[in-house]
Amino acid sequence: MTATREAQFYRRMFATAALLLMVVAAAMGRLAYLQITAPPPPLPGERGTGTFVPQRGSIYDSHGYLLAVSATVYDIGACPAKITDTLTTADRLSQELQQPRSQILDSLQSGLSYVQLKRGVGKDVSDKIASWQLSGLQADPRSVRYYPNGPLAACVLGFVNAEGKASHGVEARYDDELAGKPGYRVLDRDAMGGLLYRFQPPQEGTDLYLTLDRNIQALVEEALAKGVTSTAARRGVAIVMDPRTGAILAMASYPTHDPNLRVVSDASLFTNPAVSTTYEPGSVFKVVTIASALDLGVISPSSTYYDRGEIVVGGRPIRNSDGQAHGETTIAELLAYSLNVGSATVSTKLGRGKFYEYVRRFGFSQLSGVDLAYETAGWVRIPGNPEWHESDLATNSFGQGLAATPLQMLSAICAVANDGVLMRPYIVGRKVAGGNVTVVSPQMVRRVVSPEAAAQVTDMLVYAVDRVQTVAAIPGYRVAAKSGTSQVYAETGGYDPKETVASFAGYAPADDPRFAVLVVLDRPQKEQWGSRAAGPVFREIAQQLFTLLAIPPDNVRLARR
Amino acid sequence: MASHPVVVPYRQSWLRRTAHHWYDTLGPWLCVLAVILVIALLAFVYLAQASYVARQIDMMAKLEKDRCKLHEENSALLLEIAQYEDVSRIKTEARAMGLGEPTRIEYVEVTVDDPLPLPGSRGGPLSDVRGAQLPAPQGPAFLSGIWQQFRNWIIGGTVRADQPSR
Repeated sequence: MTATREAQFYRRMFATAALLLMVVAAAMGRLAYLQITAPPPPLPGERGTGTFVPQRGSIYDSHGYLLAVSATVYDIGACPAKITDTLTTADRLSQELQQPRSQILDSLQSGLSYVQLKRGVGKDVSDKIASWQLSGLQADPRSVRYYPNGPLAACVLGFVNAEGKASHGVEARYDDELAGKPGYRVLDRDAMGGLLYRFQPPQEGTDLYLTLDRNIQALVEEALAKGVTSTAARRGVAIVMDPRTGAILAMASYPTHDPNLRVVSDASLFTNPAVSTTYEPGSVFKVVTIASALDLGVISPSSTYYDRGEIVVGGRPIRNSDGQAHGETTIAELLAYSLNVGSATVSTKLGRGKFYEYVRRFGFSQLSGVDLAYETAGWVRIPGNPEWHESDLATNSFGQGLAATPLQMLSAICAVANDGVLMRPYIVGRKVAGGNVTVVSPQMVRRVVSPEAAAQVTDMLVYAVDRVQTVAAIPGYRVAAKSGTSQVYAETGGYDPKETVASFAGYAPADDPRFAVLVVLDRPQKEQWGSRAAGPVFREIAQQLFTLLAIPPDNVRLARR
Repeated sequence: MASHPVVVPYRQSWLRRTAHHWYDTLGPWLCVLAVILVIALLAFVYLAQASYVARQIDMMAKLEKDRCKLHEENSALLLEIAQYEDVSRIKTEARAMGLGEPTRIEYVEVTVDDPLPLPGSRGGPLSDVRGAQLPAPQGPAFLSGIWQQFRNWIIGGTVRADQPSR
């Protein structure tokens, strides 16, 4: 090579090397920018650490009517330092947010780094504000829980507060399933130092379909409210169940609250008294005593006893509520006239061992296993307990001296209605998650009494309605029902002679029960007796249920068979 | 002129043997060029990877945004439907339309004759019943019976279908 050609060659090589170096430098610079300075763009719903909160599952009734849903609302805020034209911004915001202009102007001129202008606006308002493209304004999305039916089934649903914490009812019990699983995004490096992007999408919450029927729930709440108001009771509870399956068709308490607002004067309104509070069931419990005795064979439907108006058990006199002696009395009359002497006679015949064994078999003093939060088991003093007294065998037989939840009491009644089989009460009928449907099947707990004993008790309860508890008599239908009036234990000790808990429980049609109802009124002032205070509420609910469930009169229904 | 054969020493490197001309001419510049080329190649590989990841992030961001938007719209629609299905709203509108709760519910028992079986209808392929005819309606008496039944129901009282009409 000549010297000139060599020099030319070197120049060309140098130029090529410089060009390549520039390209490499540009590539290295871009890499540095991507990997060091520019963070990946945030994804919607991302919280600082790269996790995504999933949408909470919705709650529906058995027919698919919406009871609870999560929606997104926006909190409008501003960074006053970044706002260029405060007056115009205040004018426009005042119109859109429907707030006084002066209030907004004060906030924008406050000198704070961030001010919140309005919470919980809809997407249309947020989109409109975003379309202005004014600097310094921001709309932060936030998930809120809506209960579109207001106070309907509030005690069953529970609620989710502004911080997203579930409390009471189905919301708390199924919080994990409703909440879903958060997703995440992670930027990582492989072994060679290359950039990796791992994204796990959030798993949306499960939708729950309850066994509640919204229409039945509405009519029960209306009837209960009317009953509580007309009797001036402190509180009322009403439950409707399907005795064949244990499905809860309605569960109401009054007074109640609106879970959207959660503004109450008494925090106890948030609890569901049907499962979380106990009461002394009173004479409704006689159904358990008589069914147990019939099942064991210590009495039969034709058995009689002599009612002198008083019996002494464990040194304590037990008297009938009417204070009268009824002479030779049948078991059916015992139930119809709700005679305490009779039930004490039967329980002493059963014996303490067998009586309390049946009490436990009917599900008392145990959790029923219902899928609602904060269920309590109630209590029953049994022999062996230092506080148990022999007179408890008598008083427990007519539902005093023991505590049960309304749901436990109705479940026991349903066991009699269901040919002696105790079913587990449940409120969630099916779950839908990601297209998969899981149907919750009814669960049998145990056989409590024989079908014959259950049928005999049913006949007696029908007799009671026809003869004495006529408030529950509905033309065209055989209704089996029992009233209960229990005394209330005073805080000072002993039973308050003026206060009662009035209850009424029953099921229909008697030969093929489609529903069972329990109404409990706590301390009614205008009517103290179960048949007079709670009976009319039971009747109103039962009458409407026949129509709603399309149950024809017995003569039509039985003629079909 | 005598040619002088090129003698390559036995111990020379592979690089010198294959690129001895260029190596002799360029010397260390060839090494520098090779190093720069390798770095450029590695840089492009990393850049492509990072760009791919960044594209994925952007795509996921867009999809997540769309998903969240659809969720919001779905929830808003569900709420709107729930408002229309509200029990108290339906009651109010029904009352405004003049509807009321029934004071009396009557059950009407309707007896319908069992349908006659089709000829040849013992199962099997359709060809077996080709040409079969459906039984003709039972004439005017059948229709008038049904009409009489509903007429009596509208006027008042229930009449069983098998009772003679007046």
